[in-house]
Amino acid sequence: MPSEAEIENDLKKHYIRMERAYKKLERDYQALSIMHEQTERLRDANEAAKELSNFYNRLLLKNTPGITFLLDLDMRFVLGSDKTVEFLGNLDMREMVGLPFAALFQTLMTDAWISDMCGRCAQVMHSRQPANFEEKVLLLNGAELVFQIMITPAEEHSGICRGVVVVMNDVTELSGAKENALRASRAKGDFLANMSHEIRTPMNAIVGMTTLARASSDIDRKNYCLDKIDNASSHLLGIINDILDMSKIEANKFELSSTSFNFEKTLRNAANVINFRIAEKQLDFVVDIDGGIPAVLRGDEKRLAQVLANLLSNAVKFTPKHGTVRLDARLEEQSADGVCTVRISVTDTGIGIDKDVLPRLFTPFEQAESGMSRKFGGSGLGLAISRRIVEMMGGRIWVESEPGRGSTFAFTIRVEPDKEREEESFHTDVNSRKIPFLGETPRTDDGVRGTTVSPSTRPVGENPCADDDARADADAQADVDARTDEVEQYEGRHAILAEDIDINREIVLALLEPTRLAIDCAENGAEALRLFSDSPDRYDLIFMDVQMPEMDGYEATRRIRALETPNARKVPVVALTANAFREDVERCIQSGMNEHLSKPLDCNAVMSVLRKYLRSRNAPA
Amino acid sequence: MKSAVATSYELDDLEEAAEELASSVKERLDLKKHSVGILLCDADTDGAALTRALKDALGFEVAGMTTLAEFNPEGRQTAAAVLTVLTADDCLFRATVTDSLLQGDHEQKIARAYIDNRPQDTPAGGNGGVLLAFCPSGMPFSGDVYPDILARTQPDMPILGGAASDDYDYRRARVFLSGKEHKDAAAFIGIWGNVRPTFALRHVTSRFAERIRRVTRADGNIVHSVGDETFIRYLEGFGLKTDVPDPLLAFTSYPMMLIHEKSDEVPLMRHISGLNHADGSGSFFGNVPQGALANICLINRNDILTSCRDSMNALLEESKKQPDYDYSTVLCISCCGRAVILGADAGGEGRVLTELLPEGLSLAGAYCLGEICPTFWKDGKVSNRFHNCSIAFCML
Repeated sequence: MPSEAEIENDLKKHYIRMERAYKKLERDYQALSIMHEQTERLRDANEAAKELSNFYNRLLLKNTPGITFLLDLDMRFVLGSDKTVEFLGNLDMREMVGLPFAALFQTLMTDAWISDMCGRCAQVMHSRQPANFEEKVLLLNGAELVFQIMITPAEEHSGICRGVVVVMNDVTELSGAKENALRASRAKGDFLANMSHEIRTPMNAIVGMTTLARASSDIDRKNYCLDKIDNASSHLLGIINDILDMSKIEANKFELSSTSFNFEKTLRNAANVINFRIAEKQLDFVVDIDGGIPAVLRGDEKRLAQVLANLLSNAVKFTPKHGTVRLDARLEEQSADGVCTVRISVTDTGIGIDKDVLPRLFTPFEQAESGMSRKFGGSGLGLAISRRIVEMMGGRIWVESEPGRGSTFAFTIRVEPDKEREEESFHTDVNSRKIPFLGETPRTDDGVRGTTVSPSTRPVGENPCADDDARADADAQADVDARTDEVEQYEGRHAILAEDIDINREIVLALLEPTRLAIDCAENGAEALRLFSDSPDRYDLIFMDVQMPEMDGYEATRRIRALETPNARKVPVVALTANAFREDVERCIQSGMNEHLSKPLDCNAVMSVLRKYLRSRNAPA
Repeated sequence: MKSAVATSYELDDLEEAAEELASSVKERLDLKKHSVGILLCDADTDGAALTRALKDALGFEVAGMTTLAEFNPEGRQTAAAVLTVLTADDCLFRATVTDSLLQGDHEQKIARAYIDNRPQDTPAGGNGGVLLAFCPSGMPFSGDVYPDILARTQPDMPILGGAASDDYDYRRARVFLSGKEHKDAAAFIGIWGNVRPTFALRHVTSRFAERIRRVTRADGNIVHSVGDETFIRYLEGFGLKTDVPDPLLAFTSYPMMLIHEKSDEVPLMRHISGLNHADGSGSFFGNVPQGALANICLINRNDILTSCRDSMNALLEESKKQPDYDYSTVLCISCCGRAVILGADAGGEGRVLTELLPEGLSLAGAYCLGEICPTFWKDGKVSNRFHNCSIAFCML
């Protein structure tokens, strides 16, 4: 039995241990209380921070402009922007979570696209390298969209990849705008090249005829040359006016004036401008004018005439021989306050225009096709200027066309009648008009009087002034004869001159007459090729224009060089062209030409080329 | 090397406690030529008296420290004194203590103690050594100095240690060496000769709060600013209360995780040791690299138990790489923060250790305010580091 003292001692020891244990519990409790309080506070703050973070994440997804979504390693949807949800048909985001990518997109996209995307995503996850590409996507509903797609590996800070982030930006509009900008840029480039050609061609006539006039002492010969210079200057002025008009339109400084004018007279004047070419191409020209159109109108007569002249000259230009050009004017409506809406149309039986090209026709610097100007000439600005004029006259302009059947260019204008000057009108019947066009032939079959211009009996391609100028040419010949002893003689040598423009041919022929070089003319590349093919050994030199109808100079040269005759590879081909840019020269050389002479032609340069090639070909081997 | 672990709950009658511990050891262990004792005990224990009594009873040096709770083969113990005796013929055991680290150059004093610990001659056939460190708490310098200075004085010497603790007061923590106790000095036991220490360490970095910020101004273990605010304002941004009487206790369960992208080191864990409301700065037990990304780690009981299990398993796995070496003891240093996080399941880590401890191995350990243990860097390089909120093991 333990003694009382021992029991007391033992109890004391237990008491001390219990007291120690109690104190420890107290300390533990205190520590846990502090931790609990801090934990509560931290949890609340952390939850609030998470909530805020989630709120901003939702805000980000809601306002992310593109289709953006996260896929896990199994290509299952995790999270996406509202645009993604919208694109996929406004499903509930919660519904989408966990769905395979293929299942989500199968109602919109083709299996091929889905399969391709799955492959690309897998590659990104594997390589950890992002993929960035732009592609045109055909949707199952037939729509075609251009997407810029970025696939990025979804990597944690530690580098572990959890899937991919896919961003799909619809850049269809941007892509279209880019294409338009590129096309506009190309069109401007073509326009510049074309302008260079269009300006140099009349300049060639001006410079060439000036040279001839100076060399001649005969007054008739000089007058003939001056007439040619006058024509070329007018043509050049027209081109410059087009360019200036377009510049004004682009600078928003194009303005109309308002004066009283006789509507029929304006039409007549516009038509008279092309009468000569109508006769040349032996076209039927039909004019129908609604008698209801007030005789005297107020507006910008000059600009109206400009539109008419442009449409009519196009119609003539694009209509083959013996075709028909028709000019119609109708009063569409007249408002209570007297303002008239007049519809004017120009119809031809020409080559017509492809449907795809129609929307671009009224765009500056565009022609139906870039090669169009090569065949038919023109600045490509006329229709754009016409559109602007018509719009400023409160109307609109449009075209209906069918390839091979012809085109109708029509426009409306809103004009006020000038009643005070109505009496001055020279028409006598309000329902019909008799208009003094050249070679008029009244037509009454449709109840409205019109006029036709009879086909000219003059052969096409013949210089219309040739008869009148025959004597002047003979005199000029005398001048040339007088100068032959000053220039080198190439009698017995033969050359081809391929040139589609009459006056240019005339200038070259006149320039080279003193050399006594025998020249056979061709109006296009195909003719030049035929001439050479028929007698390949006859020719010592070929002068080759570049822009020509049917077959251009490049193609003609290439084909001549490809002929299986020794002279085909040897014969010097000299480009005579208004295309004077460096790339034009390079293109000439690449096509097989030996030399490039730019228009306006420099007489000395032409002679130098003759000396270079005709002498060397005579030199002993 | 052989070992035995003895436990006494007699903290008041130290003669009796020493007798109980010494006789328990002698019963189970055939003492060899060289021996040393490691005492890990409650802060209520008079460590000076107990180590003196133990040295008298056993005849060798005994070093150790106070702790929040002790580990022995039965698990976590409180209000106890756990004595581990290591004995070997082919090892030398040397115990040294530094002078007061609060006065003068603490780095030089630590270096001196390291150098003094090294014997003139190591036993033949020795493979190297290991250093056990018992460091004081509440020092005004970073715990990184212990491994850093060791790297300069004995670069190849691995170290396991920790800073002394108590039951959440942290002002009664002390270090002992054979009859003397110190609040401001570190004691070391160097083991030299045929020893192949194996280490493992884990901490928890899986979950964190929503306020990751960059440390914009730090000087050693003092952090002045994080992001564009003072450190204290940064802490308050988490919702944490900073106006607290005992910051150490208030933040024990919220270690800071630091990721230094420029370094190839694994993320650092750091405990706050104090707050300076005058300038908004905070001090840590270890250094905080300026430029590192900081965040508060959110750790729960399961994280603690999982990391304890993972670490112990890793240790056992690592020990298999030395099949010809006969391991006898597992020494464990866990963080006081982990003890707090375990909450009502305070014995959780002890339970896991007991469950995993193989037969034939003894176990002793303590909860500390900072753990020192070799760690692996991303490139596989091993380096002694100072840690917080981790559990570290050394098998001897």
